[in-house]
Order: sequence, then C-alpha cells, then structure tokens
Amino acid sequence: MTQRNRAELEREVAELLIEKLNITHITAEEVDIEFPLFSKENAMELDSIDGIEIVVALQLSYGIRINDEIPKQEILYSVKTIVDFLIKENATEKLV
Amino acid sequence: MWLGLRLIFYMDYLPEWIRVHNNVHFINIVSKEGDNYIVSDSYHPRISSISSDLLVKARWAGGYMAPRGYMYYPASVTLDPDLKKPIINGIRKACRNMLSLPVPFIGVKGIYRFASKINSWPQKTRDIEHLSHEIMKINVLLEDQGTGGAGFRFMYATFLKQAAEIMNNPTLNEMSERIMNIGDDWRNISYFAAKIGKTRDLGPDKIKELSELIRKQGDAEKIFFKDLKKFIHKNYTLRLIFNTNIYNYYDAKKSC
Repeated sequence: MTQRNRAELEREVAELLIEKLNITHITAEEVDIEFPLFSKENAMELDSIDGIEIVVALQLSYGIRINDEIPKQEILYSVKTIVDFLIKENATEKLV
Repeated sequence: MWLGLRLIFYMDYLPEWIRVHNNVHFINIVSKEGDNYIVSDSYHPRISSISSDLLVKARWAGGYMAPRGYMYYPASVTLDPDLKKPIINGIRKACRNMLSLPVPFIGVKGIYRFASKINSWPQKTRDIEHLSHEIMKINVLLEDQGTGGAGFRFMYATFLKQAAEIMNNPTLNEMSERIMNIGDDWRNISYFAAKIGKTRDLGPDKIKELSELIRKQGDAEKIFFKDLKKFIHKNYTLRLIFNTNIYNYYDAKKSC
C-alpha cells in the first residue's frame, strides 16, 4: 500500500469513528492518528461502550473479525494501529 | 522477574472507567526501574509502570477476597512438557464447570439465571439513568472485564485450535470454530446492550429482547459443551479405561 493510500485509509477510519460514535465536537481532520484512542486526554472522549461500537463498526465495514489472536486493546490503541490491522488482514476496501 | 499480583483499583495507567475496587485481577511484574515497577497487564495494550507506593497499597487492599499481599511466581519451568494429558483434563474441567456445577450462578445455569433476572431490572432500578448504567455494565463485563463474553470464547477457541494441533485431532478445530461463532454472538449481545443503554431505549420490549438473546446463548453454550464433553469422553476417557497408553493409541489410529 502506498503512503498516499495509507493516509486515505487513516482518514476513512477516522471518519468512520466520528460518524458511528456521533462525535460532533471535532472533525476527522482533527483526529490525531497516533494518539491513544482511550486516553483521558484524547479529544474524542471515548469509553468502553464506544469500544464495542468501534469493533462492530470495523467488523461490518471491512469484513474482518477482531478476536483473541491480536488483543482488541492492541488493535484499538489508535487510528494508526487500526489501520495497521486492516492492512495486515488485507481488508483495506470498505464494504458498506 | 515474573510475578502474579491480585489487584486493580490502584493501577493508575488504566482508564478511570476500568479502575474499580475488585480483588480479582492479576498483573505480571516484568522488571523494576528506580522506584517504579514495569508491569504487563491484560487490561492494557502496552507495558506500563506503577510506583512502588501504589503497588504496596494494591497488594494490601482490604475488602472481599483481599489479596493479603500474595504474590505468585513459578518455582520451576519444564522446558518440554507433555501437554496432551493437561489438555484433556482442562477440557473435561471446563465442560464440568459449564454444565454440571451445583451452583445456580455459574456456567450455563448462570447464563439462564441472568437472562431471567434481567426482565425484573426495570422494576428494581431507581430510574432510567440507573437502569441504563446497569445495562451498559453488561457490555463492560462482557467485553472488558469478567469471563462471560466474547473475549474468553475467542481465547477458548484459540486454545482448542492449538489443542487440535497438539492432539493431532481435526475435530477440535471444528469445535474451535463453533466457540468462535458463539463469541461473535456474545459480542452482538454486548453491542445491543451498549446501544440500548446509551440511547436510553429501555422499554420492556428491548429488555425482553436482551433477555431472549442471552437465553439463546445459554442454549448454544449448553449444546456446545455437551458435544465437547461427548467428544472427549468418546475419544479419550473410554480409551483411558481400556488402554492406558491412549495417546499413542490415538496417534497410531490417526496415522493408519
């Protein structure tokens, strides 16, 4: 995957999070892709309930399964780690 | 150094919503840097550190099942263990825990009991806010803490997959796939609970739907663990009675 495509995918994932979690106070462009998603300082202010929404949204949108082989906490660490996982799973095309 | 410690509230590297007073969590101590201990915690995706002061507080926390300062470490490690016998014993024990323990809140009986109890929650809670928090706690306990949800089914599926390889038995692979699907269904329940809790969509029909989803999971787990128990009994326990060297017998039969 080229650098540009990766950047597009990162943007797409950030947009997916903003949309599915109904976040209105920041935009996808403002999401720091390397910043820990569930950190207290993250502007998205996510919690455990959002965690399951992200998992289900990723599974449905990219046709992947997030199971025990790579811990969920590791995949959802940041937008960057989500994108790393999608690339590893060869699931870079959004299905829905 | 490797140590197991039982604690949770004082783990200040965890998000606040995970840190509850609960004396049933274990962490590994990896090393020490200055006055801080480097720890590996299954609730946290990265190696973290905790001060020795907080660790002391955690080790000597009070309350139910207080850790009383216990630490665990391996006295010796066998480099090339024979895993076949512990695998069979472990599966047998898991089947017993899920199906036959004479305790109403453990295993499949516990799932049915929980499904039934949820129906009465709206009458027992103070208000809609309280009810929504209790419902969302189902998601937290299924996805992030506790042993009832998708994560532990996925872990068990991985165990069965590895067991299939060690025991040279493809049926365990099929079992692994089945429990993986059951894990997916637990995740859907978790998502459903999170969604109705977050949107405060907690009418009697939704609570009933949630209860029914959990009851169906009880049915699925009952069938799964009964089949697993039957499989182990047929392929290993009976041979243990009639042939003490069952593993060689089984391997020889597979290679024919």
